[in-house]
Amino acid sequence: MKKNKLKYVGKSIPIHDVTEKVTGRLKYVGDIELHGMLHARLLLSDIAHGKIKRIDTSKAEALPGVKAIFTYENSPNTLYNSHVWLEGMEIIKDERLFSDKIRYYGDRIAAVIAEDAKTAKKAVDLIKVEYEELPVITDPEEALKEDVVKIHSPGNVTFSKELECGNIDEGFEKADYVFEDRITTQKQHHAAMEPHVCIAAPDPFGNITIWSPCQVIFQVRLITAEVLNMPLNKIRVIKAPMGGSFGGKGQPILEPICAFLAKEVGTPIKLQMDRVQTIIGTRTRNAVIGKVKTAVDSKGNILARDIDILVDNGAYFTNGSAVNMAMAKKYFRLYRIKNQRYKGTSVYTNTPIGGACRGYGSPQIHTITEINIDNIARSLNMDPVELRLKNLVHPYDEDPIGGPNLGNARVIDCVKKGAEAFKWKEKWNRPKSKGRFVKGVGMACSTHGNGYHGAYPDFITMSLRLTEDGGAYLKSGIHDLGCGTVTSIKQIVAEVLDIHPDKILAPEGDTMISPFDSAGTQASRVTFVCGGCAKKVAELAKDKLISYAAKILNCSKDDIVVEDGLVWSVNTPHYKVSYGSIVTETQNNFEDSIEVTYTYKSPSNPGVYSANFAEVEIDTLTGLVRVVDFLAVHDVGKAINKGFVEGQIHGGVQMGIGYALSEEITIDKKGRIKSDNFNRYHIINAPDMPNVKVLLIEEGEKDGPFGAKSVGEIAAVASTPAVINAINNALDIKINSLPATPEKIIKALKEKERTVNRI
Amino acid sequence: MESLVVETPESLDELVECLKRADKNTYLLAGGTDLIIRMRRSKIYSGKVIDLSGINELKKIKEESKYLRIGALVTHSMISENDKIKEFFPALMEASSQVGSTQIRNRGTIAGNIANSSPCADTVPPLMTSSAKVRTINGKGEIKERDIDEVVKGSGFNYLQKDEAIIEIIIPKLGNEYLSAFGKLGSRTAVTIAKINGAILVKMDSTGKKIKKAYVSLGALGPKAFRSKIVEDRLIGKEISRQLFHDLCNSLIEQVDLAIKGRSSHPYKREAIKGMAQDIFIRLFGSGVLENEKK
Repeated sequence: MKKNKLKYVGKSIPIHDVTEKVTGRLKYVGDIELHGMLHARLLLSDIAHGKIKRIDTSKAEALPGVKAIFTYENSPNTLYNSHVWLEGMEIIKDERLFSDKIRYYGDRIAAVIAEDAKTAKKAVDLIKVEYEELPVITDPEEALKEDVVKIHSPGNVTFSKELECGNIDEGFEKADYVFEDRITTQKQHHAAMEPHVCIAAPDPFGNITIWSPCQVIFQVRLITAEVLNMPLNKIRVIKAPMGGSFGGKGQPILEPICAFLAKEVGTPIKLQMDRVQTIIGTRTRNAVIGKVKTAVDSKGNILARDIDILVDNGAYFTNGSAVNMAMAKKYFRLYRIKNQRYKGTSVYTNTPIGGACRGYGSPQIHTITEINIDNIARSLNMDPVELRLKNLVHPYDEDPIGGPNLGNARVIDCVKKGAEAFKWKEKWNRPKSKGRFVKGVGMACSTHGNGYHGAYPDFITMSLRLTEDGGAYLKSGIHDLGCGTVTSIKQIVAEVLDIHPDKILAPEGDTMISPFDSAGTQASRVTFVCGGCAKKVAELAKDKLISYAAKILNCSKDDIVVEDGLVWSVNTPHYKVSYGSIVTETQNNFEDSIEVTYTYKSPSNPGVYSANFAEVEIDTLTGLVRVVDFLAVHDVGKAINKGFVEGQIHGGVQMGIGYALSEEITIDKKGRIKSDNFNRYHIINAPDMPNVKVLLIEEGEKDGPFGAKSVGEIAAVASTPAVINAINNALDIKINSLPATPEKIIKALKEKERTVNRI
Repeated sequence: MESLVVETPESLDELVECLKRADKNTYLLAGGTDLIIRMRRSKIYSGKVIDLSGINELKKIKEESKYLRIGALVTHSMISENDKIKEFFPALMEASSQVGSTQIRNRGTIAGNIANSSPCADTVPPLMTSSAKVRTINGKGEIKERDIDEVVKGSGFNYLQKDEAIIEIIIPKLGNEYLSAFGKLGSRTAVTIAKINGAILVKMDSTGKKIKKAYVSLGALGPKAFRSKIVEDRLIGKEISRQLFHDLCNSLIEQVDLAIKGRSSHPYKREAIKGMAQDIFIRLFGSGVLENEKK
């Protein structure tokens, strides 16, 4: 069979629901109205730490249109952890639907159900809560201390772990230089356009159906069943169209509450948050304090590295250990460093809850280590590109702590080709400008994974049936977060079957009809693992098609040619039959269906890699930074859909620049959140975005479908340290606290001025 | 049950009728870009909203021999694109063009910007530098003219009576001898709330090289924008030079120190105001002065 030229894979086919989206006809959960549906709104706390002494709901209850109010007094007391996606995961359980103890500004106190959303909001405003306030911890280092208030009874330290390869002490002994940095990263909001929303509807049989723009239907079902003490089969979760997630909708937050309310009241319930509630009351990127120490010789070879990471998991644990371990793993997979140690600790604070957020630890760990690498280069008077090239990993290197092989790791290609395309040498060596506006360049690398293989069970079942009219129906629990999952999966199946993607139906997840998927849209696993399964199941279906075609056409399997929806025997090339005819004849004459169900276990977990190059222009009078040029080079193995890959990278760079410069959930000493809306929480908007250029390294990955690897998460990683490094290089300062606000830049410049004057 | 009543006058006469019945729970709606947010934040579910948007006579910019009369419902977009305002008072044009986002500028009005009385309202500093007047009408049909300072109280409050509405802003047509410019420092290029803003209006002498009169107003350094005597004194009688720029910076820093010393924003604002100073200076006098002369 000829299969040299790809027909559908690699093409920029538009996302499957583009027309419905741009014409406004797609119904998001916020648009859905069900008969008899009531509306719910949450009351979130306006203090950061305390015990509830009294909740007075009388005024709210008296408001016409209010149907019910729920607090800790009349709701299940079940402890759960919304991060659990697979039965059997052992982990701290510390969340409740509603708590009698407040642990952060935004903790859930009550839910009001009313005839309409406005009445629900009015009623929420009428609830009076009396607290007994407790001391507030907002600083994770403060949380480590012995004699401070305990946010949860077992204590504030939730996790600690040490990982090591080689011999750290030996490495440091041999060093010519040791470079140390302490870098802090902030809490980031996902800023999806669609705030959190969910509908739950009970039926007369005691089932509950949940419509949610979520990332993991089976996780939503698992957690909801646990909290409501219901059988899994009584809960149906349907993945609804999604207005963005970026990890923010990765954990079930509203779903168990909404299902509980629907069950209690007996009508469909829509539970919706506004922007303020979504910022303060859902999940955030964990803030991290990283202390990194790197030993190098005079030639720039890295001999050893030691890092101490403190993760602020906020008021509830959720993924406080997983995110820490995710950071640990990335730490060992970017540079060839013989002697390395990672020490990770996670703590509670009275601040917004950490959770999945695009990159899942990668932005934090790489920000910390890549700023350190650049600081080393500057101190050694070396080009940071050269320093990196000396130390980066090579294809098929082993993971030094025993994790999966790095696979076709092409980070060196990323750096070399990127430096050339960006004209790095020229820009790096350019004399520094003196005036008010100063330009400078910076770069950084990063790595990320491809699923859970090596850490957690990673498998998915898909079922593919060829239809009587020559189409195909793929049943699976996929979730399109707006990145083009459905279309990418269709492209893979289309390529294998050699039919147009439009002939394939590939609905998103619905726990009632989708075969099981172990982990949902998480961990950058969709293209690599789910795509791998789609390819495999399509191959098996095609094989079945060929088997029956051979019987029908009276020839051997080897004589069968399958091309563009038609099947024939090499012996009778003038007689071609459609796939549909084979399917029909198979049904009628062989009582069988061209249908395959397959459970695919991810066979490996290679790294994806990137090198990002940024040029910034800094107003030295105001401290404002603009990124004026940007090149993102990504080792993606193979782009299934070029347009989607570029789109992911553009969006990821925007998120990364925001993380570098302006995005921050600011929390005052009392734990109150100041940047609780987009007037104070500034993402990078169009006037401040550079024209992002994308360069793809497509060298193929053995186990990826058509060689593909992940891109969605790594896209949001290297831009942050690249921008910070550009600022540091341009101004000869050391920004060590993110985001690099104008205030911090001016402060650093003033300090530099003072130092220079002293000398 | 409590309810929110909306009245929709279509003329000044009808507006007066509405204002006659106004009480403490009456709100005037122009563009709504501030009011709607404030109503939600303050949990206002009842009362009366007088929606001014149907009064077409307040949507025009009229030119008279000595004045430009800007209707209360003129939006920031309309001001940004108006040739007469650009000609006679560029500082106001610049201020309006930097308010919020395109969508906000398409709805937000100049009268709303004044009445909302935010400390960082962008149009207030330029209006304060000119002898702009705010014309109001009340429930008795009485028309009054006041200075901006007599309307803006600050920190989100104004001095208007409950039965009073702004109907016009009157700005003098300033001749060629006048130069004006606005500057703003936010946390990003566009769609940003001012950390500092300011406007400078100068009257040049006949040579065009020396400042005869100076009017300087600064925002976001207190409950409301204010005229800075310190900075004005430093400019009056001076020739345009690099030295003048340094004097401008230093006097602005002095003013910032006086206004907000001790606040957490002070160390940054006293530095960053130099950036705004340079922007304004260049808009007023061109970039040549700063480029040609050496330190």
